[in-house]
Amino acid sequence: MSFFFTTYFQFSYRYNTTLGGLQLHYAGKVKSQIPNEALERAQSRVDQLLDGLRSQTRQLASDAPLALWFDPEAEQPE
Amino acid sequence: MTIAEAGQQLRARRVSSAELTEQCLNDIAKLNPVLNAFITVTADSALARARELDQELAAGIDRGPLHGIPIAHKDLMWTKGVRTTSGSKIFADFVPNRDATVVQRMADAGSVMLGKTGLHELAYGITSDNPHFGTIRNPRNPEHSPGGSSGGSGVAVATGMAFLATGTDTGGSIRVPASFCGVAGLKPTYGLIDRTGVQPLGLSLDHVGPLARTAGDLRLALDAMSDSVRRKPAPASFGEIRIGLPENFYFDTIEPAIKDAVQDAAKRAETLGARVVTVRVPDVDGLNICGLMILLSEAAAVHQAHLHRRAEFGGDVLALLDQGSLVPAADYVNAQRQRRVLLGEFHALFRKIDCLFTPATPITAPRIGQTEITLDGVQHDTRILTTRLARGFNALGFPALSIPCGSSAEGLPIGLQIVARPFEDNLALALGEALERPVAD
Repeated sequence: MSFFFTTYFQFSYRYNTTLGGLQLHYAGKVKSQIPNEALERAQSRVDQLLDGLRSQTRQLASDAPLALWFDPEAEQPE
Repeated sequence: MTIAEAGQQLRARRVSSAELTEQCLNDIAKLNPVLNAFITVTADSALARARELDQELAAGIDRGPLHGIPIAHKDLMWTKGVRTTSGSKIFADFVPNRDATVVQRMADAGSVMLGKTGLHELAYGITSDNPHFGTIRNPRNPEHSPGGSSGGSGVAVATGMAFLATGTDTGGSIRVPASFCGVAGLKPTYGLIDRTGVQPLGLSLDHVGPLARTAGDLRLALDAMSDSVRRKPAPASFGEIRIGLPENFYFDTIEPAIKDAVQDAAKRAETLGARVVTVRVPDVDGLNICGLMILLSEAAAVHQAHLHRRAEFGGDVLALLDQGSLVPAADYVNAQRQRRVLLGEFHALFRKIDCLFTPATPITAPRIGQTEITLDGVQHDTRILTTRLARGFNALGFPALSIPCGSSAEGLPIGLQIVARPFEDNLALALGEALERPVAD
């Protein structure tokens, strides 16, 4: 799965950016900041961490809450 | 000399703040060329401020325990008119127009700012091997790392260059240098100390806290840095205190001398009246992965605006920022949800105990540049191993204290980590203070 994930993303960065649409425009932004020689190594490390995280999140109950809160009454800083 | 001892000397007029400050500045002049603890030294303003505070004390104005005490601030705390680099080329010329709230509070409490301590670039790493401002070195052995990211603060306190220094801790950045340098360091409860004017890294993981020579000095610092009303008082005695000693995870991958030292500290706590109980902790590996994924994402968000200036970042920090840019938003959200589940499991554990004793780090200070460490015949990445026992408590927000509890055969310090429930920082500090007192005959 990790191999597929990496390959798919590299493919999308390198070859699909000439197509229109919002999603591919964003992919192009990512590409502009991470050169290809750094991308593969970074993606490999992230894939490794995602394998661990996703095996945990598969066990998450559907009603598991978020650990961040938005308070509509919070005062804005000066 | 501790802050409490210096305070007694000041009030007895046996020493002045100006003399204490001069002594610290002399130590900085002598030691900083080798150890590189400070990026900026504000000698003239420190001496002028010390003289003002001496005059105040002579006139009967006493601001409290930090009055006239020379301290240092990690160089990511905004200091009005004084360059604040965050250890980064990006911010190398940044001069804030106001103080961070914590800097202001400590100035109001009468402290004297000696300067700004060095750190791992952007506080994003634990070696303090900084490509822009040089390598910070461990005072016990300059060939070894002081830890980080608050490495300069740990070194400044350990050597007497400052009585106290501020730090930040997003994945162990106060406790690791405290452990490696042989000083005390507190990551307080999440949110206890105001972060306004402190360069962020992990928005939901960052903590501001103090490093000092003793847990007693940390307590004095915390009183100045935060409102004490949010903290629960320490118990009058340790008779009802239950200390959890983990049977899983925390002693699995560790230098034997560290395991022995921490277990000895637990035995000493029993002599104070506390009860030590063996406990099984929830999934800390899972908690560490959550914490790391959240940090990668949040740090990439914080520094996104600068990421096009790639040549101005050090290689290790740039690699982490690249990784953070690639974490899908859905996984960030799920890491936050998983964090909440594990928080519930840890609260359940802390209904059976009042605090947890663990090692602060599974290793003593590695050599500078050492990227791998072998334990029990297995090779480990030094950076991952160093934060393995500390990172989880950033995700939980529980207060976590590191105090010295021994030395390795090589003379490198060992740190004990005491973790308490949220806003029970005073309990951790009280236990630390009791344990650092010499054993009575």
